[in-house]
Amino acid sequence: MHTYHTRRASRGHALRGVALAAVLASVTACDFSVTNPGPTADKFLTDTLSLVAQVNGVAFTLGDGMNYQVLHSAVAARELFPTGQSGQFGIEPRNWVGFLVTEEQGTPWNSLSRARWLSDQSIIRLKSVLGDAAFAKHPVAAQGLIWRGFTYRVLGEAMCVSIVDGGPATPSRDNLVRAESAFTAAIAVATAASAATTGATATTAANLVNAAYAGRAQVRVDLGDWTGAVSDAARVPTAYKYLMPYYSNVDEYGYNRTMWSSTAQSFYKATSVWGTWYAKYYDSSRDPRVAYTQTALTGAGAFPPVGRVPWWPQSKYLTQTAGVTLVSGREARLIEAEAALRNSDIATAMAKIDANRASAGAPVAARPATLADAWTLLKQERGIEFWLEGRRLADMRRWTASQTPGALDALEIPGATSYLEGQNTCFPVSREETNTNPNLTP
Amino acid sequence: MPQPPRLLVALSLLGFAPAILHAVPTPGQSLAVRYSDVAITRAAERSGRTARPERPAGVVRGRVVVEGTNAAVGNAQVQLGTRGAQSNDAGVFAFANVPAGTYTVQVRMIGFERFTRSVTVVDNQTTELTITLKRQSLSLDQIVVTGTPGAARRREVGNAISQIDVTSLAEVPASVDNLLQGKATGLTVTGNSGGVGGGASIRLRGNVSATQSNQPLIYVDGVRVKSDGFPKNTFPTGYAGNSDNTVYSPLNDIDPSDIDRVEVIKGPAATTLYGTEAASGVIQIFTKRGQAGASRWTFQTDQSMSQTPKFGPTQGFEGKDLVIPDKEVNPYGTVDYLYLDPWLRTGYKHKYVLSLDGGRDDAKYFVSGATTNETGVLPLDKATQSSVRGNLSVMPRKDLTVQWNTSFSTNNLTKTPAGGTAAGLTLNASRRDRNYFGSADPAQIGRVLDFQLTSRIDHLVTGGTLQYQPKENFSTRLILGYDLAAQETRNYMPYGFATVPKGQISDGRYSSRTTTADYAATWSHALFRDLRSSLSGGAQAIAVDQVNVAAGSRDFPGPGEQTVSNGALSLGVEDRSRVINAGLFVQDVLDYKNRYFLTLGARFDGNSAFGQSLGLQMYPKVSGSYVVSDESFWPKSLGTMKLRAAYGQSGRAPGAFDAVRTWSSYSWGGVAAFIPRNLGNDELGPERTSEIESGFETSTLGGRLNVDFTWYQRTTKDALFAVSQAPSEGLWASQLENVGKLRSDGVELGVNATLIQRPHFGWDAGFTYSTNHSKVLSLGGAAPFTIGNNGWVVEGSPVPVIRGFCVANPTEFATPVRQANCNSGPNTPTRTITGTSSFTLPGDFSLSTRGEYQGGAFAYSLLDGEAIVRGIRWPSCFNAYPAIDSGDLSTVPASIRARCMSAFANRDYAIFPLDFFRLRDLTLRRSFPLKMGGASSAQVSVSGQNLFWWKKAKDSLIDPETSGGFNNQSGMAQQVRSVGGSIPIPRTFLMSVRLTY
Repeated sequence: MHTYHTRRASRGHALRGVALAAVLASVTACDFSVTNPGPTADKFLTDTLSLVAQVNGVAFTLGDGMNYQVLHSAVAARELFPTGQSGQFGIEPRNWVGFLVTEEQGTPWNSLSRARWLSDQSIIRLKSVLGDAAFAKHPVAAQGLIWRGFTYRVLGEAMCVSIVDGGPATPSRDNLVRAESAFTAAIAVATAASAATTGATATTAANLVNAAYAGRAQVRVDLGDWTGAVSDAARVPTAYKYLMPYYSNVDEYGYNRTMWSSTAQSFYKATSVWGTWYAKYYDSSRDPRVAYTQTALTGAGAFPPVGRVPWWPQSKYLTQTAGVTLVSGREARLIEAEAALRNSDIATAMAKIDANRASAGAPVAARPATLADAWTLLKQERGIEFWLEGRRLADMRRWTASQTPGALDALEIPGATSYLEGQNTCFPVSREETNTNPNLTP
Repeated sequence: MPQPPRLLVALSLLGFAPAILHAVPTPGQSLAVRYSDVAITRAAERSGRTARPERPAGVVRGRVVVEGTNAAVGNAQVQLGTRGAQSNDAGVFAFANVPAGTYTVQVRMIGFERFTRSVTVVDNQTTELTITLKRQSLSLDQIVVTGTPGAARRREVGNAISQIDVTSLAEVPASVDNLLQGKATGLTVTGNSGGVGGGASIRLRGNVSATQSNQPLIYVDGVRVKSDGFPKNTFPTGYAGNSDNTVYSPLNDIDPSDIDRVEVIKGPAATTLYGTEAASGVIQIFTKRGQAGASRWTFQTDQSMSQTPKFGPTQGFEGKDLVIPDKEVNPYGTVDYLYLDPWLRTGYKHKYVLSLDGGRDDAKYFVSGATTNETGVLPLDKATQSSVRGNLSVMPRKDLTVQWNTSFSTNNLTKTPAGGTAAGLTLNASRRDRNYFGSADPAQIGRVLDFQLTSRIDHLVTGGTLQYQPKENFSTRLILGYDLAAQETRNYMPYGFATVPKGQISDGRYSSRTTTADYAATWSHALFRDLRSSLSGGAQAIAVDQVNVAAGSRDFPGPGEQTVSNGALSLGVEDRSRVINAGLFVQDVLDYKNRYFLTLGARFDGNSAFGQSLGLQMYPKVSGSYVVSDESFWPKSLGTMKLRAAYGQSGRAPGAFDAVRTWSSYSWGGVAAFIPRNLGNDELGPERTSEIESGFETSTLGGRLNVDFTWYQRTTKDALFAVSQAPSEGLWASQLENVGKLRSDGVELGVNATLIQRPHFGWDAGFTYSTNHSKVLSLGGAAPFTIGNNGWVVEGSPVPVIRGFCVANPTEFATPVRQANCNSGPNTPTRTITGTSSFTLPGDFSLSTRGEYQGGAFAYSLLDGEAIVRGIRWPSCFNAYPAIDSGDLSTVPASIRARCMSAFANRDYAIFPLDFFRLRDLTLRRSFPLKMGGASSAQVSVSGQNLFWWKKAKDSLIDPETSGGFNNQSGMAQQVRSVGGSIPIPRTFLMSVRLTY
């Protein structure tokens, strides 16, 4: 049995123990403030010095989205033939036979949607930080508007519907309308920025004016505004090009995906020019725009109806950094040629095509005998000019909608020759969007 | 007869504390305590005299054996008066220079009743003793530490707790993962890889979180150590599959021969006092700390060889025996080994351990060193490990005990590229001529072996415990610990390598520093007659600092040994994070008549990863136990019975950056580009798991039948779910939000029985049966979401459920109709059964065996799925190919068309059941004394591990116990297990020799 004294002493020890525990607690348990380095806190993005990086982020994500959209649409349009490689830098099985289905095609929608959201946000933040007056003539603002225009143009041409900020799905044409608006704004801001600055900055801004006119010409074609399109196209020199750049750091996801998915350097060998109309055309013409190389190898995996597919890699993009043309003066000439054919003016159309070919170093095209032949030639010409640039499916959709004359080759439309079981001409909404957007039905 | 005073000593306070310390003896007392008791016995009273050195003196020798079979009992603690010793593997102990007199001999060993008797020592004579221990699997006065504020007798504890006495294991564990496998109910240890160096996934009662780590917390001697795996050895950016499939576990830096015992508590009902991060359970490892007595040398060597068992499919997808058409025969390999035959080899492992322990009552030590050299069954697999340990325990004052334990290990790993990569051996070999080389020729495929994957892992664990006990009923304890786990990785494809012709390299440095500060005090006092209280309080702080720095480059100028500096293109990656978790706890144990116990407690926690608007979190606990067999009405013949029930809460904290809205920066053509990263959530807090469990422990039939049963149910509220954001709103990474509610329940039954107990022959058998069924009760309005590898979190389904497309018309002879969102089942086993059997044989031989079955889980098989969608001709389809090739599909059902024809194929069709059985261990052992003086002995073990296996999915190429993936989540790092290109767990033949002197 404890004595009273012992108990009191024990309690004293207990109190000291509790006191020590409390001290320790005050030291350890209450200080949880930890600042970890690395990711940038949102509050720093309102700094003027952060604006360029935000605009760059739009281009980065647009390039990322295009990387998938260009490659996957190239297989569906039979600009390239699948070898059986799927997964890593590969093509998925439904895509092999012409379908762009939700379960396989989430990345193009997701990446391009991110680029769109970023492009809108960057403009909002630019206006907020710079003020309206400065924004109207700021070179970074001009660049931001250019990326916004191309983002909406790519979405408008590639996607089946348009969705903005978790809203309802509307016709993809809405993207094109926004693209036209962005390019119109870009023309004004880039022109003002060119006038307000000097040296390289002014030159860059002036270059953006061309890009804006050329981009607006593209979307006006898609919107059916041929007068406007021709007017804008006329402002673009034939030699002009504006590229989506890809940069060669060590991360292969940043590379030009069309190149990296099928090159001896990467080992994936996911696509081949074998089995496409472009191989046939190149063999007869040596047109540098559709160059490829024949090898004795076969692709990775197998495409069951064929078995192991001969691997003939494309030679348009030979390096990881090869840029993808967003708009060019040569396209402007083809817009003018198509506008002429719409007026049954074969001579003007051929002159424009000749100008295009001369600029590209391609042989002169044979003269078409009929208007239909001229349309066939023009359709081939756009296929050649935009080969592996992610444009073919939109053209197919547009021509089908407008019931233009002229035929596509059997190798690029569904049938036994092409091994295409069908052909989706636009990308679906991703499952991620369907599952999270309250305006959509999962 | 006067009873020796039994003082309940608050030993090595706190559940986070290291192992049992010797209590502080007062003058004239000796501590006669190890595992099974905490009594301080007055040696002088027992012996009737004070032992003083006198000349001449006598010798006491003896042997400790099991009652009935007379089998030797090694590692039993023998106390002769104030002197201590430990029986060797032959059960032999000895005391020299014992002054004449009468002494009390006490012998203690986990699982046996304490033995006490008197012995008279006569000068110049040797006193021989045979000490027979009686089995007692359920010892209610056994001390447990984990989950309590200090130490507690088992009778007081209201929750289930498992103890693994490593020193008495019949097996020779190859690693800590191996040691834990199948040793406790509710504990699932999944091997993950047949390659060297792979860490195992450990789950206690299945998954508790859908998004956070489910690996339990690991403590070593009271010090928190890293429990999750090291980062995968892969390039710092881009495709993470360019590697092997393994992730190294820091747990395997601990040499099993250094371990004395392990305690396992399985859920929040037991782990409340550990706070926010303990919802997945706690495993505490106690290392050896030496015995008072003469110095004892122990040398052990383990020599083993490993071989890969056949693992190819034995059935086609339609369930018929596999027929291999002539055109599918590969001259270089067989279906049995997935065409890997040319590369598989016999692996060898050579391990040597030397340890020394001894000391006095007031100063004990244990030092050891071990070295291991291993070659795996894959051609490049190689591992070396060296480790040293020093444990010291001193009592500078009668009321003060200081312990310091330090271990350091260094490991070097060389791995074969066997992951899901174009540069992978398994992937290319299995695809034969439809691989990335377009050739099945080993000379071509073997080019991947130029890919060099090397790692070095250094691991330091050091920590001290200071225990101050100024009064019998008051004690305090302070633990300070530091765990440094560092990994250096090198991932090198030389110039001219098949998949990257100009070569690439990366060097990674990763370190995890965990600092532990832990204080507790316990005050025991009588409230009323027969009612005592043990009031405890304390504070704990854990800081985890992680740094991951890597550099990579590619495009070398030419051949030669390269470094990152030599690549034309280079990049660097740096990630740093610091997370602090700290809290207070208070607990009171009310003890009525030493058989009714009620425990009330709470933990108050803060964490730096919580949202700014979130304050301290409180986790309550309450538990009770009732030793019904101590009641007068309880018939002695029914043995011992304890009823118990517990309720408690614990949590899991979000990640370091989850609460903050942040942007990532990428290099884009030499300039920076911002990309949305984390949406942020100011109110983000821990997920809170409540658990209720109840059960009983009983020992009857004279200790020959022991049963331990537990039922549990746990509910996680505020579950952290990765709520996806609409891509059209910026494609932020999925944001963790406290929105979900999960539930899981199950039963755990452990039975051990002594079936035959005769001189020189005995048979003990046991089995465990554990179930775990989980369900998502609510998604809190969030949409179903995937956490990777076909694992989905869906309301009403297991956590996670393996989901994917399936064929809606499998038996129809028609084109497959694809159906979305088909649930296969859970990803973790719903039932685990282990069986053990051990025989004591004449001649001091023993034979033991252990098998384990896991069932009810499903997973995606990466190797099957990725091959079939690529048009690879796959063994499971061999039976169907003749019809498919002929174009006549009239006899091919939709399910086969979907799985064998890439036109219809989908990866999700490669989801398989993971049910399997493995004969984990079969060991024959003999212990015998050596004529080298003292208590020297030898123990020789011959064992086979994984000699037999069975799997339910006979049409798959996989080993259900392995895992792998294309991304960073491989091996034990996988939140959702998928089965990848890992080769199966090999069968191993081992011989172990242990000499003690």
